[in-house]
Amino acid sequence: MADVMEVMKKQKVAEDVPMLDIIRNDAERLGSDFDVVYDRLKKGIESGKMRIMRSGNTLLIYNILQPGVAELHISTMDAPDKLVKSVQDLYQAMKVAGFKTGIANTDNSQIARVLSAAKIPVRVQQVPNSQGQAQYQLTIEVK
Amino acid sequence: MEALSYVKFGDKDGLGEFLFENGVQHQLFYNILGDQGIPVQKYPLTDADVSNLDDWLFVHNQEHQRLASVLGLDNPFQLLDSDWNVENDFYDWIGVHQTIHQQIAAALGV
Repeated sequence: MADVMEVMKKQKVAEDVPMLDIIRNDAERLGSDFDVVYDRLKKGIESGKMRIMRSGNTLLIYNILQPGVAELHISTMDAPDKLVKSVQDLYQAMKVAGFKTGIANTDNSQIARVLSAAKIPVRVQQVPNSQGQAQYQLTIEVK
Repeated sequence: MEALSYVKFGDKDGLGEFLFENGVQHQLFYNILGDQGIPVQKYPLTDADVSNLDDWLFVHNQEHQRLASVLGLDNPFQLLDSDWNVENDFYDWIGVHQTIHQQIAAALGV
């Protein structure tokens, strides 16, 4: 029995972070209640309205707005160099899944730079959030 | 596709994380097959009452039976014939289940 578990442990990359730890870390960074976020995710996934894709320690959370169009949220615990590769993988996954447009709102200006470094076509607009603070709206065209 | 989180026998929090990640992967399988026009009965799998997992084990097995059938994989009978209160059974199940998910992912090209 121990052999099976040893194989499983070896299959996992040393710095692999459990999915919920990535989400928890992101919720804390944004000052959100993890339990509320987790509950919303579970309901969204069960209803088929939300999907999660993972590459490395980066999660792409889709909220499907209409066929081919999704609101995106990126949660990551990847270092910037690994994040570029993860984002490229997730962009390919969006393409395979048939998405044409992804829209993301973020307060993290680094995300737009990472998308550009990953050669992903993205339009960036500065828009106010619900508290009136500046945030970035990223529109990704999936080609 | 990433491996499911490692979960230790008796770790309820770890089991909750495992159930969530497993549910996300099942949703992915369901979406891919749905996009190919192959219907798979879907059950709520992202959460369960960890003190009584019999219902979850049953419906989860139903999904795996259907996935195995449509993808031409081995029938995963071990997923139901298991007592999670017995440590060896639990680890057997986790190991077999991980292998099955890897087979499904390979068959679907993810």
